[in-house]
Amino acid sequence: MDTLIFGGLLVVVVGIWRRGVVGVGVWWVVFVATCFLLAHHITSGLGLGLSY
Amino acid sequence: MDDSGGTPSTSPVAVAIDERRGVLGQVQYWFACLFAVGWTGVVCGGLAVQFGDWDYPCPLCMVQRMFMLLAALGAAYVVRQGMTGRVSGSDYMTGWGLALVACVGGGFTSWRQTMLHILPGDKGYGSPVLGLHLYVWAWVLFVASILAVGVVLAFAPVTADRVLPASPLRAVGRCVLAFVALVIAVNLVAVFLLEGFHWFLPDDPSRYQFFYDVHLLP
Repeated sequence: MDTLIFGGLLVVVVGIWRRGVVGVGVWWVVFVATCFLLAHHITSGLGLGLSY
Repeated sequence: MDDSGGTPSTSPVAVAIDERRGVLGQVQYWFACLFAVGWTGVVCGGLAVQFGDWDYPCPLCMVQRMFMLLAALGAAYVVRQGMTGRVSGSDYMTGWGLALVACVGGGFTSWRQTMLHILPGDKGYGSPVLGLHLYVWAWVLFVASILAVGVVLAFAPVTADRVLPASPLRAVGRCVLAFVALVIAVNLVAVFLLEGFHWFLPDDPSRYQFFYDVHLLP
């Protein structure tokens, strides 16, 4: 997953260079994928038992 | 748009104001270059610790690098539009909007990792740099970036010319985009070697899995 996301980032660079809508579109796809990866790695509650 | 309905505001007065700004009107372009190079440089710092101190980045570290590069690419969008000599207001807003979204995502990630190691006695993950762990530095920089983008946007009426000179902006922009692309490519190879043929990194990586997957190492 991490490898694919970095591959996606390279695609974003190419898309931005070509100045089409692809760059921004793929940017959002990579962003959502990164958020899913983050959610996967949050394996306990956000509060962590601490006092807020 | 004017008050009477519908025509773009390209009045002689507006054009004259645009021409009068000079270097001040290029501030957002140069800040976009600095922003893209800066975040990419921070990722280079992570790579330096990874290979210099032979420190294996954890999964949340990699997620932060992704958000850093996404933020850099938001600014890179502004840079690329500026290289054409014409940047619309929506171009500036699109680029900075992407950067802000990425900084919020990265700030949340680094906050999460900081909180995992916040209790007294916890040594944290990896080696500290200048007294702070890398994920704490990341949190500081993400928040500072949000502040900086906010300040730049607040002064947009005088710092965001829509017509920019070709030289030296085009050559500088090309170097910025090449640098970002190069660092992403290096990270792509590094994370592939670290992750191997697996979907996710382990919580506490201790080897470059690829070499074990292909049996180059026993």
